Amino acid sequence: MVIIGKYSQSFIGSVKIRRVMPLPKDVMNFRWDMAKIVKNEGHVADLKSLLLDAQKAADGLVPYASLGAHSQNDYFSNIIIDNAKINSTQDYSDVDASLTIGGRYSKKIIKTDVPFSVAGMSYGSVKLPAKISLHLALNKLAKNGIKILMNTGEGGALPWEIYGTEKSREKLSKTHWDSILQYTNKLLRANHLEGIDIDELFTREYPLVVQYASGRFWKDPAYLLNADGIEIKIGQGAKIGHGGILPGSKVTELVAENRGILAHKPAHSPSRHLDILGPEDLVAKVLELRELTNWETPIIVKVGASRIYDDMEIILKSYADCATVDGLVGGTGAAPYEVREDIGINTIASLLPIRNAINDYYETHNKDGFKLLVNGGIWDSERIAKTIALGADGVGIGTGFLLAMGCTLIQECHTDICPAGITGSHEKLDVEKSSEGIFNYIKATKTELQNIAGSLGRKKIEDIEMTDLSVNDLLTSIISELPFSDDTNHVSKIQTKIDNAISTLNLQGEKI
Amino acid sequence: MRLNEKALIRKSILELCNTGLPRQESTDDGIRTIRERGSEKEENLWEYIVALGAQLSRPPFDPYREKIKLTTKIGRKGDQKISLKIPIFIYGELDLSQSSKDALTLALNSLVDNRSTVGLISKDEPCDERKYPHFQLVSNISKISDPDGIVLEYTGIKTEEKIEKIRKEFDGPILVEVDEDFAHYTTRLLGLGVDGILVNTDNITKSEKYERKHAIAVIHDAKLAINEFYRGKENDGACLVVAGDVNNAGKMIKAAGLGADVIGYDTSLLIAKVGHHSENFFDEEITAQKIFNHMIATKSELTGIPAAIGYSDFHNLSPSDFRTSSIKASIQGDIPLEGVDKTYRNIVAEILEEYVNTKNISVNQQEKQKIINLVIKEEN
Repeated sequence: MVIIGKYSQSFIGSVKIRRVMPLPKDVMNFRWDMAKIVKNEGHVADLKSLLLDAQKAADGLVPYASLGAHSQNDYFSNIIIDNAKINSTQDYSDVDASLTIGGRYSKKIIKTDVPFSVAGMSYGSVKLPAKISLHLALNKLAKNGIKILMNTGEGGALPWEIYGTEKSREKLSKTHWDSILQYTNKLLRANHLEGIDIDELFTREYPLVVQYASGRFWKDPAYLLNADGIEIKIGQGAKIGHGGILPGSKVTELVAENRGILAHKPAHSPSRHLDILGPEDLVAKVLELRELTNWETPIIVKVGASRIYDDMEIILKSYADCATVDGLVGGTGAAPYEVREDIGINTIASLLPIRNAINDYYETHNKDGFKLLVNGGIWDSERIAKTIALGADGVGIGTGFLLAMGCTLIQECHTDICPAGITGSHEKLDVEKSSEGIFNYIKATKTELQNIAGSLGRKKIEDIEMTDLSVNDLLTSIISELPFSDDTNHVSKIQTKIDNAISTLNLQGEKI
Repeated sequence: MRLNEKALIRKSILELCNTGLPRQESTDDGIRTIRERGSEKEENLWEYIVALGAQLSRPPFDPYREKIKLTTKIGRKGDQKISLKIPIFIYGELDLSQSSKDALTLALNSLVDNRSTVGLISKDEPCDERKYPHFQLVSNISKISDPDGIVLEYTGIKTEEKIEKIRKEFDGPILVEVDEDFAHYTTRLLGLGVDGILVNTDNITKSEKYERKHAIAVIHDAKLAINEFYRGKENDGACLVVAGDVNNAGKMIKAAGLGADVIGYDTSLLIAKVGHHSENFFDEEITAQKIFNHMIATKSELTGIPAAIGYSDFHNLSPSDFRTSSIKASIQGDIPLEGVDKTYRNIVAEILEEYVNTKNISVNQQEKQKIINLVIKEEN
């Protein structure tokens, strides 16, 4: 494979990006040749589409993509938090930003100090230095009084995540512990991170949710038993109904060892759990995990936003403590390009049917501790506040953390050539620097959230309501049921149009 | 999300990471400004349409382990049907050299050998070595030379006379490539025994009638025109072939949801025309391999998406499987808006109904339709 221009410089806005061109020269040239013909025929060449065609012509395979869909309308920016300030001279640090998950059926409750979490990004999908950066940053934050939840993603957990607490190590035999340390040292050596203190590494002070996905990529039962929460992953926004994939180029010997699979072959999880085909199966699975964890561990069910009213109805009845809903633009390490772009609805659009499903359920059931987490296109305090006001209890952030570590958004996470060294091994990620970036990102986002709630006169983030929001376009008003800033809503706007139409058509409409 | 919006988000996060302090400016305000500035850009409505994936309420199929059916039959009479394993006709207006045509023939034959038959629509005489179905595009019926099917270009009432004449001599499927006025004569064509119509969205959206409208409006209207013929009856196999702005798997799936049975696809012609660029000679085998590869990958995409939507058959896709994040797309394709699961037309109709009831206004059904049409015209 001939790789052209290992690095080329390009600019996105004012941000200078070191860009890697990963595609073979043949493919790139073929794309340009097709573009010339299209232009000669008098059409506008869609270069992205032609590049996908050139890739398909070269290898006969479905083109893959990463991060989130290029949704043309994610509604977030059409929603305004009226009179809120992200930056304030007043001190709002006493605003309660905490979030609890569990307690609906589980004995234990996860408590975090911020209503956002690190969304599932598994080892393999992101490289070890990135996982360690997150781990160290979250530990440092916990020491500074900010506990934030981390989701492992579907590729299993790293040894220090599973055995990061003293309790989790209590029953380990020496042989087992030695084998864990041996694998850990291998991981650190392979990534030139031998300098990291093992004791510090095997300290986990933040809550961990592990994913139970259709691929079952873990080999140690402690993965489930030592977790603070278990998330049954039915789907994700970027590839609803498709199942996960980790391309073979990213399945290194060490990743394979961690997942219990063969190296250098794609790790493909099925599109559905082989034992969850419908609502009753989900109930059985939740109860199975409840028995396994002695009804202690909170259980979450994750779906992508699609037929979301129906899916939420099923989750609400499934004995789960919480649902995670991932919108269309939710990111991924790898998904077929067309599946990523064309399946699923936007995060904001999913919130009305979700609210309806929850409200309909609790019309006939007593209120309990059911919680809703929402992911997809959420990466800053304003979007967190908007999502919470529209009914979520908390949110998950993925791409935001990648950006905090230095992601340049070239969207090649599926190819193992990430120029920032986060999802690929082309460059070495500076663990200390990215850890510091994550620390600051979370700290500042929490302060901004407190400023937003405080400036609205709220004592808790969860008290931000729909009445604090307005919209600036008709469609956003229709799909969110939010009013415009002048207190009109989509109904009154359309009524005005009807009035005008009646006048234009000269249908005075006789009063009955 | 556009590139400059992503850059703004990145810049904003880096500001948080570098300072650890709240930002001075809202990023969503910045994105709003960018969008307001860029609002004059013509929207590609395909990008605002999404499918509903299957999860708990409907399990997905697994395209890697389970068979997903793509086969389509063209023809309304049992003994005349032509079978396509992939619902695609290679069709377009690109002129190909003889070498490119040979490469295309080679590729299409290989596809047949690999149980991936696609059809070809072309003005050329069908070649003897072909294994694939060739539909000859003709304007002069005296030049028909033993094709598997015929595509006639609609040029007015004379076309209908030609159909009657051809039908007497030709048993295979006959398709008619229609113009923008198809709504007026599709019923007549089907009454004459035509097996389907072909709409080229690129050509039709250039007409005055479809000015400022998108391919989805053409597909939607063409399906309505066919359904009009079958009102109260079951469709006996009349098909809608959609060509033009349907040049990737995502668009094909959406077109199928709107009513297309088969896609007229020109990317294979484009690949044949480019040939083997890196050499100074045209290598038919390498070019054929590229056409073949491209079609096999497209086939995988066409099986993968319906499977994720919860179907084992591509032809089960229907409008109810799609949603849109654009009022314009909702109006033109009669597609429900995401989240509310109603079309914009239905929303307006509901509000109108309540409005006239509350205000005690008397308007008849016809007047209501006029009001609705005027209201939605504003957003279209």
